[in-house]
Order: sequence, then C-alpha cells, then structure tokens
Amino acid sequence: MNMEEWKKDIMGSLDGIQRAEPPADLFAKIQDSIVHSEAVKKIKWQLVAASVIIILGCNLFVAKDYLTTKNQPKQELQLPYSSNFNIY
Amino acid sequence: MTKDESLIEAIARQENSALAILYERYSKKVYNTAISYLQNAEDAEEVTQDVFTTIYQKASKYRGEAKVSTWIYRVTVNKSLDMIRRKNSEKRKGFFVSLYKKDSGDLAYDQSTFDHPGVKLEHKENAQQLFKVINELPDKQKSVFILTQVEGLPQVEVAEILNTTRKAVESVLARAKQNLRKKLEKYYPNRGDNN
Repeated sequence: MNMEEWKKDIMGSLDGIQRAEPPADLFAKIQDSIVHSEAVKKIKWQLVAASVIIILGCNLFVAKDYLTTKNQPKQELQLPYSSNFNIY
Repeated sequence: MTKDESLIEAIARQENSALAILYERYSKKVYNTAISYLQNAEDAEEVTQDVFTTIYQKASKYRGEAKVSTWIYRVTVNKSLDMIRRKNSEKRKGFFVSLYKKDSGDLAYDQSTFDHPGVKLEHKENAQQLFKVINELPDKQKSVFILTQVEGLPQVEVAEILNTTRKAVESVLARAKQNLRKKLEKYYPNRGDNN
C-alpha cells in the first residue's frame, strides 16, 4: 500500500461512524446542577439585598446623627475641657 | 411531536419535562460533538452537562433568530473550544500544578490515543491516527471537519452554526483535509511505503 492509499484509508476511517451513548445518569446530574445553580443565584441575591440594607442603615444612622448634632444649641457643644486650671 | 421552539418556551417557564424531552432529542448530538473535540469521555460529559444547564438558564433569552438545533450546536462548539483552551492553559501551568491525577497517578491530560466509541472495529487504529491529527487543526478547520465529517451535518447548517457562508465552509473543509493529509505524512513518514 503506498502513502496515498494509506492516507485515503485513514481519511475514510470515520465513514459509518455510530453515535456514542452519553452516560445513563447524565440527565440526573444536569438536573442537580440546575438546582444547585438556582440555589447559588438565590444566595447571591440575598447577599446583595443584605448588603444594600446594611449600607442604607449605616447612611440613615449617620444622617440622623448629623441632623441631631446640627440642631443642638452651640453652647452645649462648646463645653470647657476643664473647669479647674490649678494643676498643683 | 412538540416543536423545538415550543420546548424552549416551556423550558423558559422552568418546565422540567420540556428539558427532559429536549435532552432526549439532543443529548447524543451534543455528547458526540463534544467527544470529537475533546477526545475524552469525562470532558465530553462535563461539556454536555454545561450545555444543557446553559440552555435552561438562557431559554428565556432565545429569540428564534436561529433554529434551536443551530443554537444548541453553537453552544456546544463554544463550550468545547473553551474547555480545550482551559486545558491547554492548565498544561502550560504544569510547572506549578501536577499533570498527574491524584488518585490513579495517570496523566490528567493524556490525549495520545483516543478511541471513539462509535468507530467500527476494523477502523479503530486508523481513526486513532486521524483523531490525533484533527486535534492539531486550527479551531475553525477543526470545527468544520468535525461538524461535516464526524457529525455529518450539511454544509449549510454548519455555516449557520459558525456564522459564516456555505462557500466559506466548503473552502475551510478543503483546507482542513489538505492539512490533515500533510500532518499524517509528517507524523507517519514511513507508513504506506512497504506494507
């Protein structure tokens, strides 16, 4: 057999190829993976929602604190550091 | 028989029975395409799993611009090529990561010989040599050769899958065959001389 014939044989080796069967449990694995990815997606959204609530809460707290401080009379804020200056 | 498009609509409504029917219809096609690219049953199984999970998740975004079969083949080709790229990049990191499996000690990336389970017994050895050289083709030539010669799809459908024209598929296929012959001659220079 010369090289050309050999190459022709090789190139024709896929003629009449049959389809291979996927593993029997593959569909069950796919269903598991879908359930798992849905659960992960849900957890991700819960984490995002929790983060937003925490950030909003912190901002509200700071804003409320700022507004309360702003409304206090100035005198209250300017208390002397010490009432007794006699150290000895 | 339910149309593929109706099945996709049902999958978008998260009906598992529709996914089961679609799986029954396409799992062999997806698995066989993947196994021809990856030349490894475990990897083909992983890609098939990934393809059907993607179909389930993206079904609501399917707009019917391409046939469902075209869409499924397109997802399969992309996932298979992605896995080949990932495996090649892992191989390059072999200096840091072991190339051997922990449990068995076998090579994790051994693709020296691949036995396609659907090849006729008398063609096994020849098909092994052919798959070895298919593995070295550039992505486009590999895709065209696998889809037309192994999967047996018409050139028009392959053109739709790869988003190109039938003429382009025809010329890429000719180039792929020419390259395969050259590579066979390079790897087995003494074959066919005296036997």
